[in-house]
Amino acid sequence: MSIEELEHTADLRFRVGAPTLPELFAEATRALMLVMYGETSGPVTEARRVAVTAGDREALLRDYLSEVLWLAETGNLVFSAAELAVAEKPEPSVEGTLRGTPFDPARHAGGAGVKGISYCDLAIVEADEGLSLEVVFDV
Amino acid sequence: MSDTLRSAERRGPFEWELPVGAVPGMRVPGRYFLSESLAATLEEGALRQLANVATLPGIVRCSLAMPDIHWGYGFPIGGVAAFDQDEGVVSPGGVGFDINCGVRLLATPLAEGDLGEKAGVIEDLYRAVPVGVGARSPERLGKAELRGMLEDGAASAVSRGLGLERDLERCEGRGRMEEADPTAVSEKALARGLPQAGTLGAGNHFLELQVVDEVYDPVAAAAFGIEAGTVAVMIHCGSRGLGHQVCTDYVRTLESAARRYGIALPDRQLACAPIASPEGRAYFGAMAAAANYAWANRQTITHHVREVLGQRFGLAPEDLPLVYDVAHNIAKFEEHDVDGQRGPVCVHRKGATRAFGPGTPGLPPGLDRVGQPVIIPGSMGTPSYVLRGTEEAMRLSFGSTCHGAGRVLSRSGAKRRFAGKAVREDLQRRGILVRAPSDAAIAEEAPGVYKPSGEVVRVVDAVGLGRLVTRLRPIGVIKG
Repeated sequence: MSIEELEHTADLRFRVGAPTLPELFAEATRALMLVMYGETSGPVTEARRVAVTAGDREALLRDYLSEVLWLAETGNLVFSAAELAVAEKPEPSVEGTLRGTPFDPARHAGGAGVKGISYCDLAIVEADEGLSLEVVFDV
Repeated sequence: MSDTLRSAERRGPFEWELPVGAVPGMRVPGRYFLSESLAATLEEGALRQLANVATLPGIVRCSLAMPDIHWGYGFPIGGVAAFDQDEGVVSPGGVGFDINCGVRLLATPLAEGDLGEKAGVIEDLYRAVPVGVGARSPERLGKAELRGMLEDGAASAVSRGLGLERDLERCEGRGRMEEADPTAVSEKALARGLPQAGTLGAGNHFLELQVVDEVYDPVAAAAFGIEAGTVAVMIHCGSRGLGHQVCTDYVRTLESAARRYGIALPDRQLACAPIASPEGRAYFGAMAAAANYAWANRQTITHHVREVLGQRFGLAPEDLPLVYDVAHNIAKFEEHDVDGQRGPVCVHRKGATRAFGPGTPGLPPGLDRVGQPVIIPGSMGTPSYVLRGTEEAMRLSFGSTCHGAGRVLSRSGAKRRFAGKAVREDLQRRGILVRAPSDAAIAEEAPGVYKPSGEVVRVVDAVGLGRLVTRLRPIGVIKG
């Protein structure tokens, strides 16, 4: 699995790779958390359920990451793991559990503060390692 | 750069036009304003976004970009477009996630030497204004206060004792959009906004101490209340998580709406709906409510700044008057001339500032003779500027101008090139103290990642999209 930061002048753009769709979504979650908080370490004491449906895979990814962002920001939480199941039929959906730790300024203040997940250049494609996505976080 | 985007033609010393056809479906040309040196930094992605905006239904005259144009999402940063109120659309991609991200300037009677131990002043401000990731409001606002922010904007803070009645006169549109519809704001957005009221945020948001080190237009400077050699305070922030969530919610809603209304989108982030449609009206009402939250937010931060400077230097709030407050991510109905006829259009400004010229209805007494103040932040190490709005801006750009210096280097590139600690120490040697939650935040916003602010405003002044009034030199910076 891989996270690669790509050039983008104003915001943060990433290419994420993973063998399967659930792992790809989990790796994208990790990328989002690293941007928001710099690091995700800390005792894993918190869990949140997540369930999202959308019209297509890209919309599902955007809506799922937007939900993760909302859960993290309103709960003051830093997620370090995502256990997910992703289905493409009858409609694209993702559900599972996010696990993490309460936000600790001493550890997690080195991030950028993500405003939203952009549709701009959002794509999920087949790749050598399985699947790859590109996503832009507005910071 | 693709051949079609290479087809941009130079129409004047600083004016360029991207003809219809540069990308499929363009209804009007693209137009942008750059010098040779700024043009060298223009990305293909920004030009393509300028062209994409020109494909949207009901756009009038042209798709515009200001001299700080750079690659964003949906609209380019620095993008301006106006839409016919009957045929046109409204798009969250033309406003951005940070609805009513904006900037305000406070004047002080202090000289730089009056500050004494500058580090102590910066530290007091840093403690008084919550900044950075995870920052929470020290106030325990209830839902009634939050609703007041959404409905009444800056006035809601003033009514809670967080400002002066005069402050409202010195905000764009008195710091309020009357079209605000709090019922169109989701519970999710309210949940993000409630604990963040009065916080600065992270990223490029800042609170800066500056010195007025050059006055180009003494008449306008006097009208604005700016005096050479005095210290000023600049505050840059927006609608925090509440506005971000409004954008997230309505990109989803309006993407579906666009399909229903048969609107072909070149970029899904340009999701839009007819202005008069239920979906379009709902977005506009929610966007206006978020804009009001942002004005109340900047007003609250102003109060905390006045408390700190008041305690340290024995100053009353009236001694620290607001020069002006401008939005730079917003959509508004305004009267403009289109094809020889004056009428209302919906002007989207995404990383662009309103720059109404002298005599424009709605400007407060004292400013109507010279045009509105336009506040253009630089970077941590380069000057900011105050300009005044012009008749040329009314004619050329729907009364709009640039909003800042404009980035030229990505955040990852900035971290590779600059070390935050070294940037901080270099700025300190130049008399600029920087306080931030982390050195990484300093590296990402290092002066070298922005276009030279002086060159951007030089182009603005030369084209007439604003006229220089004063230059402000940074002396202390709090980064979010």
